[in-house]
Amino acid sequence: MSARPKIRKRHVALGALILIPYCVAFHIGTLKGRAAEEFAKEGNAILGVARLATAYAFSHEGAWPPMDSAGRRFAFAPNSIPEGFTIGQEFKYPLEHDAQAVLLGPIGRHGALPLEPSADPASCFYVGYAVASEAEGMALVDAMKRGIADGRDITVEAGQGTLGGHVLYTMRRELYKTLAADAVTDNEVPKVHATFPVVIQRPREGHAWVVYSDLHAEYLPYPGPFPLTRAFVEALR
Amino acid sequence: MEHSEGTGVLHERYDWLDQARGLVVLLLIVSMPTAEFSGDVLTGDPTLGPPMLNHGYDYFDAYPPIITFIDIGQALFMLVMGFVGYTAFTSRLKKRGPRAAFWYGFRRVSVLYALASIDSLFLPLLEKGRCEWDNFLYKGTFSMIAFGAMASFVCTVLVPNADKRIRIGVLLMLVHSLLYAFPLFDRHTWADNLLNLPHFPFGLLGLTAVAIAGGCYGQWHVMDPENPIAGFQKRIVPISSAAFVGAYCMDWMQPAQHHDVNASLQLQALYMGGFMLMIFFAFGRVGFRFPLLSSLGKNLLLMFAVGGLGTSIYVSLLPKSLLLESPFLAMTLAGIVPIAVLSYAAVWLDRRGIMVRA
Repeated sequence: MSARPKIRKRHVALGALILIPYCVAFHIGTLKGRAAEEFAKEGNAILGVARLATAYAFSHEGAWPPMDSAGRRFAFAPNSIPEGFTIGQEFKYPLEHDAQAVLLGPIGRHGALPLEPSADPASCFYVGYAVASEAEGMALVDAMKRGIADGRDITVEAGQGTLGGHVLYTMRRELYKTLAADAVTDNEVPKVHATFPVVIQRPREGHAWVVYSDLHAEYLPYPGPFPLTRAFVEALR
Repeated sequence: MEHSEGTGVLHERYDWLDQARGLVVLLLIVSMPTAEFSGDVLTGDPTLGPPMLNHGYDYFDAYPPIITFIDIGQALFMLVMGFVGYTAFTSRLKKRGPRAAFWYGFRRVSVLYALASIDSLFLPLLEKGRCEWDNFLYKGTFSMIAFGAMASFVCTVLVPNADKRIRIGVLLMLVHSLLYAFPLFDRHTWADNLLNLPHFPFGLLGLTAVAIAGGCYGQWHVMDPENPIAGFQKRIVPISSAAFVGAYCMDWMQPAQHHDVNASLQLQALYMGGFMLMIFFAFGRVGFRFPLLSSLGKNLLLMFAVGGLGTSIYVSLLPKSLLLESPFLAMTLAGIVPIAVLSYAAVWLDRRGIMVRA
């Protein structure tokens, strides 16, 4: 190791050869990363709707909220749970818009923050039953039309129930245990929750976010595989 | 694992280095009660302890994260491990041959992985009924330290010149920063992995880069055996200063993150570690020393493993309501007792010349 190595021209050139592409790549990567974060915000809002349902389940013995059977809509039953809220801008007088709810502080540097809906309820469908295929989904739509999807398990024709059984199960926490107890599955498989879509975004520009009952989200093409088949989405509408 | 292998003295023991190591352990011990009593700023659960001596994510786990001294601690520990590991490894290589050196390296990595197996396999099996294999292999603190130590040894053998070896660390840092910038892999608390991105051992890669740099610092320190200041003057302080500027710039573009040990955090660890070593070295030159830190530093791994585990169990038993009633009790029971007990143990071991190490 010499005391102070000379900086040669070729070292400078080599450094530039490495650093310039690095800086360009870093810049592109950062922009792509920010775009991905922005893109994920919409999915997060839809995920928030599913989280509301799980929050409801904690105070209702594990049962997810019922669907709007009176209005025959794939949405939460009216007054079952509040609309999804997220924290909004700092609360200032006079109010620039109607605040439905306000979180009083101190919260960080804020005295109060209004709560704003995280997702427009009309922008997504809530599927309060465990359906994993188009046949099961269409059986649920049929039950909804007949006004029997009222928050209880529904007996349907064999093969059209949850996972090919004869019962459409309402969504609930640890449903996999019930499915195993009723011999719908051979044993308790928690991963089965990853197959039940619970909140489906209304498709836009050929894609939609889908949140499953294990609270993982996927951005899927429309029309595409269940639950974003054309027939099922049209029926939900 | 006692300090009794062989008969000759392998290398000079630096008291100022023991003190620097002791400070790192002390910060770890202090971070246990502050983490336990972090409270919750959103729900109004009161906070106890100095926030600067706690992980920032315990208060706000989001992006960009709050970074404190404690958040740099793990990387700082890695840097110091690399520093001392270089001296221990190369002194054996020179005086006892490759077999002794490689046996030392193997032993050190094995002991760290053994600790990782207790931390990530045995204890979770008792508590949760399952082993945390990902923590054992690449995510846990001990496994990351083990891997970093191994990488540092291997790089020392492959590229003996520190001036060239540092390029490996820099290259790893650049690769890390690029992989971290692109939305290719899941990052800690990034949108809850909504995009289902695959996991990547960012923390492991980041700490490995720091460990390699630590090994280079260790070599630069002895670059002129006749003049111990030379290493600091010609390499450690200039490179730490450059890392300071680099960390400042990088923090604008890619804010430091504790869990993923991204480029900003690696650079912060480099300059803080370099300056810390310089400060303790300078203190030593003017005849000023902290005997307690020296004792703590001599049994670094023991204090880190046993002290850390013992302190975390102790603070979990403290009733928070009692501490909230009296600030004096909080300071004494949570702030002073763990330090006092471990310091006593460290001094007791030191006075008997016992150094437990891998």
